[in-house]
Amino acid sequence: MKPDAVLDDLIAGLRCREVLAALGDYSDGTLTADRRAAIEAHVGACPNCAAFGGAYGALVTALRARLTTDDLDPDLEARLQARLADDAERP
Amino acid sequence: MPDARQDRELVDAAAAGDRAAFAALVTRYQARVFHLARAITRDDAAAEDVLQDTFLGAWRAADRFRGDGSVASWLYAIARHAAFRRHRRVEPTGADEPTLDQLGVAAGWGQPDVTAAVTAAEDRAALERALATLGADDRAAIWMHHVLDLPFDDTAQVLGCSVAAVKSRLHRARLQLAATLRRGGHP
Repeated sequence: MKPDAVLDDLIAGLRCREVLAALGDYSDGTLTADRRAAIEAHVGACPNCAAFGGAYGALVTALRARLTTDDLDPDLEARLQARLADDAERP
Repeated sequence: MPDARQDRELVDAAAAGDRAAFAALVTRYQARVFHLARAITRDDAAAEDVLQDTFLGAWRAADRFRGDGSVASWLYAIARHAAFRRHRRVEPTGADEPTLDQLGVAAGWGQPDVTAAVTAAEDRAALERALATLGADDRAAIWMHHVLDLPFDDTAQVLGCSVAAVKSRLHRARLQLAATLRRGGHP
């Protein structure tokens, strides 16, 4: 089956592809309250969107948890400080 | 995320020639800039070059900082330009860009292994390998939004696009990332 057909189910007034398209804004919390409620009504009655929405949210959580800005290696930091100290192009 | 008002004070002082203030700004942002640069270049040595370019450029340009965006977005924009200047790899083009529906199904929508990507993402090395398959600005957007906590408008300023375009880019990048993770890291 083509993806276009797969995401064509109309549930609670929204098609799955509309929910998929709104998932990023839903996850980022940038939807209006009405739009958010409409998405949640669809997801509450659509097992595929519920499962995918949960996985999408978990991936976003994993991105925040796994990707971190570790401190710089001290040698790298020392080379940066030395380079900046050498720069005398501006008073 | 560092305090924006204090950032501005440090840049103003640096613009007047205060090297100690600039050193404080460097300390605040050096790790963030390095990791953003590494996300874009995918190379530690190139990221170090970008790190140095960024702060040298910021020191020289501090007196021209207009303040119409945050100091963070100003630094990240300098870093992004430096990264692209030093690292002109050919990135995937949008010639065969999949539809959102196709991306959703590839990412696991309606599939029995819908959670496979999340399971794979628990391994940081696997996650970084999957991130490496994205375009440079997709990687930059993910790092700025999810790791550096940069607001959408600042991210848009760094990438030189609209907020709507940033949101669309992030959503597609996450779906593409999930699809790659679900396929065991193969783009």
